[in-house]
Amino acid sequence: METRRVDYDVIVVGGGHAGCEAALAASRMGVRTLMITMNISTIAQMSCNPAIGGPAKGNLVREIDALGGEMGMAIDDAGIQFRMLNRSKGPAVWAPRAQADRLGYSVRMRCALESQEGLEIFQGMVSSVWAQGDSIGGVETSTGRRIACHTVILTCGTFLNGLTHIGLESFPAGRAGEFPAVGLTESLVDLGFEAGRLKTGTPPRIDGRSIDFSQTEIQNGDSDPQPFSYRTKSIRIEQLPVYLSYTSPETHLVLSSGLDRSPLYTGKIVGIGPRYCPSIEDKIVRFKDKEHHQVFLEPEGRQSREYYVNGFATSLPEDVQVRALRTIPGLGNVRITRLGYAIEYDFFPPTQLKSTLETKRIQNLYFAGQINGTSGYEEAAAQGLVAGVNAVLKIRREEPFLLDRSHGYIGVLIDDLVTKGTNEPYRLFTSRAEYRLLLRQDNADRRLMRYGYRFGLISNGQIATLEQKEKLISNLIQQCKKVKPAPEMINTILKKLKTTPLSSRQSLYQLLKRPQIHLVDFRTVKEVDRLLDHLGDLCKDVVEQVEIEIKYAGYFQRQMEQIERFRNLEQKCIPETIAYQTISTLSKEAREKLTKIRPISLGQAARISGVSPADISILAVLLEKGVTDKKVPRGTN
Amino acid sequence: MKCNDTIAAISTPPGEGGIAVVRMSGTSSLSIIRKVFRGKNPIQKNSKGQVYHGWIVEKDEPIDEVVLTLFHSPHSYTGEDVIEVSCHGGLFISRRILEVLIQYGARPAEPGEFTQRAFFNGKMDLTQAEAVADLIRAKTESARRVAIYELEGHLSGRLQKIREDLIKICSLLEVELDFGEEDIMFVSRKEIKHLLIKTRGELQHFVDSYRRGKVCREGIRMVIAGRPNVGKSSLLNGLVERERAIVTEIPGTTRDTVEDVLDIEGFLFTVTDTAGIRETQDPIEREGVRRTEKVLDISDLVLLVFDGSESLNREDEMIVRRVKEMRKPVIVLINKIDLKQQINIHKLKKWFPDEEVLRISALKKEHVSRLVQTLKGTAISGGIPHEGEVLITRARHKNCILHAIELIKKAEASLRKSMSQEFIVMDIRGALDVLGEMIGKTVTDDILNQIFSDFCVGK
Ligand SMILES: Nc1nc2c(ncn2[C@@H]2O[C@H](COP(=O)(O)OP(=O)(O)OP(=O)(O)O)[C@@H](O)[C@H]2O)c(=O)[nH]1
Ligand SMILES: [Mg+2]
Repeated sequence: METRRVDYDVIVVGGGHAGCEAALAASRMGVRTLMITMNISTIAQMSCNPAIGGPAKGNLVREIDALGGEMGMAIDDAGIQFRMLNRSKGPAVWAPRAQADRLGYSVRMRCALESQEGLEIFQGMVSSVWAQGDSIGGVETSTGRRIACHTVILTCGTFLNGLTHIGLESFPAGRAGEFPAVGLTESLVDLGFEAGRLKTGTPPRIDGRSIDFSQTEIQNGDSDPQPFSYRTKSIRIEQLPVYLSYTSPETHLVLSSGLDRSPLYTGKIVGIGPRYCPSIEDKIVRFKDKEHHQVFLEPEGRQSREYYVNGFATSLPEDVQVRALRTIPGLGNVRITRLGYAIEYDFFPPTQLKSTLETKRIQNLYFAGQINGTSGYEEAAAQGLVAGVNAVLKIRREEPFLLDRSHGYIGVLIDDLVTKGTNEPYRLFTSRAEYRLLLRQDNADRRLMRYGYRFGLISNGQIATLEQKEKLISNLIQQCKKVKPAPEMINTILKKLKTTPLSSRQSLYQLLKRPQIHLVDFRTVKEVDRLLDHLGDLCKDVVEQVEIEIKYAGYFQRQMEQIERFRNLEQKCIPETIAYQTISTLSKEAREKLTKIRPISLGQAARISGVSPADISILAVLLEKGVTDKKVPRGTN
Repeated sequence: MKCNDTIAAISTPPGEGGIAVVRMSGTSSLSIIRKVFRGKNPIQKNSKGQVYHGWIVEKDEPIDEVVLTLFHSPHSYTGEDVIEVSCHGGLFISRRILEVLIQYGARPAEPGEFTQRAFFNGKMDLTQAEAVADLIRAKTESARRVAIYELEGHLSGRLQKIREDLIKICSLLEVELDFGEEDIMFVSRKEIKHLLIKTRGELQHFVDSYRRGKVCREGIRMVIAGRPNVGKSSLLNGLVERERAIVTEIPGTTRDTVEDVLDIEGFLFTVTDTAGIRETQDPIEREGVRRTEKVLDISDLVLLVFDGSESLNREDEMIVRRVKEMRKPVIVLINKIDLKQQINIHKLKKWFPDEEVLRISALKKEHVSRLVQTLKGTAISGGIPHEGEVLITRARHKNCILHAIELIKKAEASLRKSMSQEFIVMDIRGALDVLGEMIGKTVTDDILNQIFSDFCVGK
């Protein structure tokens, strides 16, 4: 530990999804932590749609949970509708998603923070940070309080110089109705950081009492809701439905009439918005031929009457928003409770970060969440967790916590950010993951829980369960290879499952390769029954893993081989001392990019745009011979 | 690094006479050479380098008399078991030997692969590694120029197009995974299947073009044959426009094959002058004749020379019979037209009713240009691309494309099995990586193999 007198070990600036995970991780790992948020009442606020999960994002939540984060448990407690998306597809893309009680979620998370030992919360605005040499010194609030600390984690969301737009009106705000954070960007720029500007938008919220639900389609949750958290046994709540409706050409006409007062189309907004989450005005302009756009009416919570009009993000003027909504079936007499708006905010291109999310420029300063240009609660939470863990590891002078692209979606997310950067709000997709088949939501515990345990974020009980599960899985696979039921015992079952009956004995392993067949189908076979009984409480989980592993064994094997090749390069570490500028054999662009990004491995270097295979070859040669270390190769100056 | 296979390549530059060296490196070097080498002393695994004298044979038929130099691992250039086969000069023999080694389990080395192995087996010191780094840059630049020339518009453009098609297919499949909740019109499986098959067909087309592409790159192997003293060596010298072979008025001057390369408006020919074929008691000359026949065996085209100033005799007849047995394309040349003509042209025409018969004087360089025109015509009709057609010329390209085809087939199989999109996409992405590697679009995981890929073979 350093000798400097500090008030706290870690200060987390911001109480959003990144801030919460960062603060919890740090304090749970045993360091004195302070969270400073501008409004304690809006901790873990879902500023956009009241839902968590979905493709890739659901996997993220499972990974956060496996590492000992809070998000999974919080949504399990505060969810009002649970669905497993993509169930008709392979297990790798199954994605849990839940509608959340917006207020309930916030309260649930606040409870977790407030009951956490070693974590204090303070309401205030951090207006600047100061550095001591190349290390962070502490933060200063707008009221002039200076707080010294070892580490600062900035998780300021959309608040940095936030500017909201509704029509041609604009107001400085962090979210509609909340103050922006001013001063901090400038203080960071003074420290040498490069800032950029992004934009995102939200749809209007409406009064549920003004909706005619009979004109909409209903969408219910799953009858067997699956929890996000490995710690949640089951979910037993009454689920609320979501309603679906569509825009019409009439809606589009109304929207078009307002384009001349759109901040987006009049050039008032300079920040870049996300392509995957366009505003409704964007949709009708870019996809002129599409006559209908889906609109989801999502309940804001159990106590609330408000509905969130998902799919209808807009920053058009108030009168246009009202008129356009009223053309939608079911919304003929709708009353808006809160207008849709667009928000512009500062972000800091994440290529300024290391894979630990520490800034390269200032030691012990970490960025997590939307400040890094991401969008989404899950992406934010994952970064918060990684930053929190790494902050503590660094204080303890331990090895950093780094996940690569083959370890999990968290690894993909962070590698994309720090290696490639982003120029639009970044969202995770399953297609961003090369090794998707193995990064499943069903095996996040098997992939990551041991890390969480090592950091003290996962309990002994949990890790024991995991170990037991692993044992049962490998045992069951062995048994499946051994047990060969007689054809006469199972042929009627096979026929019932519409799959070819057997003429001679076949192992369960072989049989399970058929897509239609599941182990429970053979319960009538005594040996199978005994096998399943033996699994006890873990039966469902173990059988799921075993069946997936058997059914897709060939694919997984090939994916593993790909990963092995990938890790080859990933393990070729580049020393921090390397002086790219002196390696004249590298192309000029490569020298510049490499100097800027400072990749930690050859693999990461190869993913930087502008670094060619030839550059990588050169680096590989130099690394192999250790010539990059300290000494610059002769003849290359 | 996968170094468990054995690589081989000709390591002397083409077109130079004397001795050629074929080099082989890898764990199976010894076992391969044992299968094709016959010598007085059996080849032994020994820690010191050794030299053996004997013959390379294929199915007991001798190919060439050679000297083997063995370098045992780790005391070799690459650090692996290395064998250098020194054979009689010229591309024909050395190619033949290379082919035999490959037939018995070696793999053609990629450019730079020997150096690459040397590097990875720690056989290079610091300075060498630095030099290599510099070289890579230089080589990559020149390789890039070569690639641009080679892939000129056509190949890389067409591959890029195919890549785009595959990316498109991927996106069609991916969209269902990441945006399955939204009301997007998803493409039917049938259509995906269709697109995959179409793309695979296009790739297959490239593979099919490889043979012709190879001729295009490596040139047409052309042999000058005829009985002694008809002017074969004079013709070689006339074609390559320098005194490449010895010319005398003594029949049987040329004893060994003499080789050179000839560039006719961008089409590459290797020309080999041979010993005149005849029955002889002279052991050296007999060996020469035997070599001539070997060379004829692997040629693409025969220039059969007759002496116009003499009448056709039994020797001519015998040669014609042998050449005809080989069913090779032939151009018939009547030489020495500057002298008084004795030759029976009708007889000759009867022997070669379909072949082109040209009358030239090698000595006076008369009508040699006409021969050159004919050769060009042959090149064009015999496998040089017509306009718009794209050929692949490098084994590496062919292998990449074959690999991509393999992966696309896997994707099709997944599609047939009604697997979910992510399984199908996995292999299409694999194919994309492979193709990207060819045109330098993506950096794949196998970069280490690519490290020296633009190197010349060996040192
Ligand atoms: N007048 C005349 N003499 C020629 C012509 N071509 C070759 N000769 C002569 O014929 C003789 C033999 O020529 P070479 O080129 O050595 O013949 P070759 O077929 O290579 O003979 P071998 O190597 O012995 O088989 C030399 O004296 C040449 O000068 C020609 O077109 N006209
Ligand atoms: Mg001669």
